[in-house]
Amino acid sequence: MARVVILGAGIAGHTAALHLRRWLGREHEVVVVSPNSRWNWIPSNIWVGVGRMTRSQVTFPLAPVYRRKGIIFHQALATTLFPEGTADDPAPAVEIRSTAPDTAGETSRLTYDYLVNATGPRLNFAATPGLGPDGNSLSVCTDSHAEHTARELRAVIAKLRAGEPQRLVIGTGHGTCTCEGAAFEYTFNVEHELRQAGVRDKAEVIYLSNEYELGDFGVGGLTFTERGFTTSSRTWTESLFRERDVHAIVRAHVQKVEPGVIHYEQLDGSEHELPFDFAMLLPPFRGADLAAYDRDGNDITSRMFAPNGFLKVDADYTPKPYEEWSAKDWPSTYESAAYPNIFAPGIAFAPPHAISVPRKSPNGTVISPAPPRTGMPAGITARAVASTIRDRITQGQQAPAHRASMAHMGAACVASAGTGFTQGTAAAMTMYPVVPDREAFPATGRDPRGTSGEIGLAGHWIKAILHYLFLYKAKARPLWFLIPE
Amino acid sequence: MTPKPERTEPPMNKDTAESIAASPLPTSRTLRLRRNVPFQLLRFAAINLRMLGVILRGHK
Ligand SMILES: Cc1cc2nc3c(=O)[nH]c(=O)nc-3n(C[C@H](O)[C@H](O)[C@H](O)COP(=O)(O)OP(=O)(O)OC[C@H]3O[C@@H](n4cnc5c(N)ncnc54)[C@H](O)[C@@H]3O)c2cc1C
Repeated sequence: MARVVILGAGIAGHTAALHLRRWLGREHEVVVVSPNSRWNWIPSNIWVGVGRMTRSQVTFPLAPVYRRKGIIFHQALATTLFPEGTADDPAPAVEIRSTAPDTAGETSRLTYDYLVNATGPRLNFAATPGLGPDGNSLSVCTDSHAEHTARELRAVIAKLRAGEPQRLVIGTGHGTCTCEGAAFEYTFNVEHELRQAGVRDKAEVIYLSNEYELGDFGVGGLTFTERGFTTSSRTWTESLFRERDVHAIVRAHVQKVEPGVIHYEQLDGSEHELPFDFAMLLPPFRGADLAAYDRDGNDITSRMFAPNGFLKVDADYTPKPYEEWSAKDWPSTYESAAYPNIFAPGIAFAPPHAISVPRKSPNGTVISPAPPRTGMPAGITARAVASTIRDRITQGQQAPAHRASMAHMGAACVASAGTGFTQGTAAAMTMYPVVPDREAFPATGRDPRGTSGEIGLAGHWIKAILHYLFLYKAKARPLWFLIPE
Repeated sequence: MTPKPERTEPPMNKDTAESIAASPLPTSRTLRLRRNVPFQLLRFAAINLRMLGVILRGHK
């Protein structure tokens, strides 16, 4: 009998749990530890944030699905790893703290044969004073944040209707943020709502970002062919900004958010104040900050985790200048460098470096995006990890690991720019590979045949269908496993 | 609560603003096509095929 413990029930953890349960015999246990009782399809939080969907449309309770599937579920937060066990018990274990209403705060230990750390990002609002819903800005990162933000947006629209001009600032709340795509989506969804409400003329919409230029999206931008011309995601994005009259401030690190005022520094070292009426600023991400101890009780956290709290896996973490970054630096098995029975798919693994060009202001402030790891890579890496664990349980330790490097993986991204069955739009993009490979594709690092972009209603339909498809899959309804990650 | 400063012109990046102003502006025909249901149904099929290609390549 083997026990697989999965930390986190997000896109990666939930995908790994469902596949493992499908593949492994009932003599093996699949255990999920996650602090929230509900699963959330995070991409649709954008539509909750503009009041077009409710929280219950983007979430569902996990316990009934896990009960039906035979997966053991602990509503709890993992806090500490004991990968070599303890002096009293040599079995590897993880300490968890309950977040269930009836047992909140109680701690317990779970032993494991295999551990999947799929804890994703911790929303690090604390990195910027005043950032976040507990401070002076808004967020759409969770369904509850998004619901709160939608209420604030309604209030702004009411003021606009009363003839009061409003400035809405949407973007990234720190120089090292990632997920610019989500900020971009929310910007254009808000702009769309303002137009639908007939109040666009009184509103000023500003996109505030740590990207060096528009269209970077943390992946260093894209180059693709359109109507016989090579064009860039920059030109394409700027065109949308022009069409929709959205202003942009780029190369910005938000230093602090005071009530109604954003203070930021730019790459040239200049500092500015931006008064606002409504500000949705994404936080930078950190790892879950799990602690780890060896059998003798020595702290081995820094051996297992990078300083940003993400788990170190089979990547090449040697510090290198940008010119020497290689696609080969990126991990492919997501096995912990220290313990081969621990894995980190999705956002939980420490990336070897960024994808966008790294940049610092003269004051030494880092102002460049961290590498994004979107839903599709999170699902694909989780499935690869689940396949490796299945093989090692059924065939023995020597079974080779399954590989899924982001340098050999394409991504399909659909960025919503407004919702509605006939009025919606979205930018549908594909890229291959996610991490540029300059050896295989010397011109731009990506295959021009796999890299594309297109704006229109069709993109919106795809985004809406993906919402229903992935909720269906996550609920493990009949034939769920036929839906690709 | 800190008093709200006077609303000023926000310090936009001049080069980005110029670049946006010089970027291609879609014609009304392009904008219409982006919302044209029959045309978008064709694009829907084309984009799905393209995405499937990329997805299958990633699942190999
Ligand atoms: C607003 C927004 C919009 C987005 N839109 C898109 C999009 O359109 N397309 C796209 O591809 N991607 C999008 N993304 C990115 C996408 O959501 C992530 O790539 C994906 O969720 C990553 O999956 P994950 O499993 O690694 O992390 P998550 O999905 O965040 O899951 C992490 C899980 O771990 C749990 N957890 C955290 N700490 C602990 C702990 N200590 N112990 C146990 N459990 C823990 C969390 O509660 C959560 O259940 C968006 C992100 C945001 C914020």
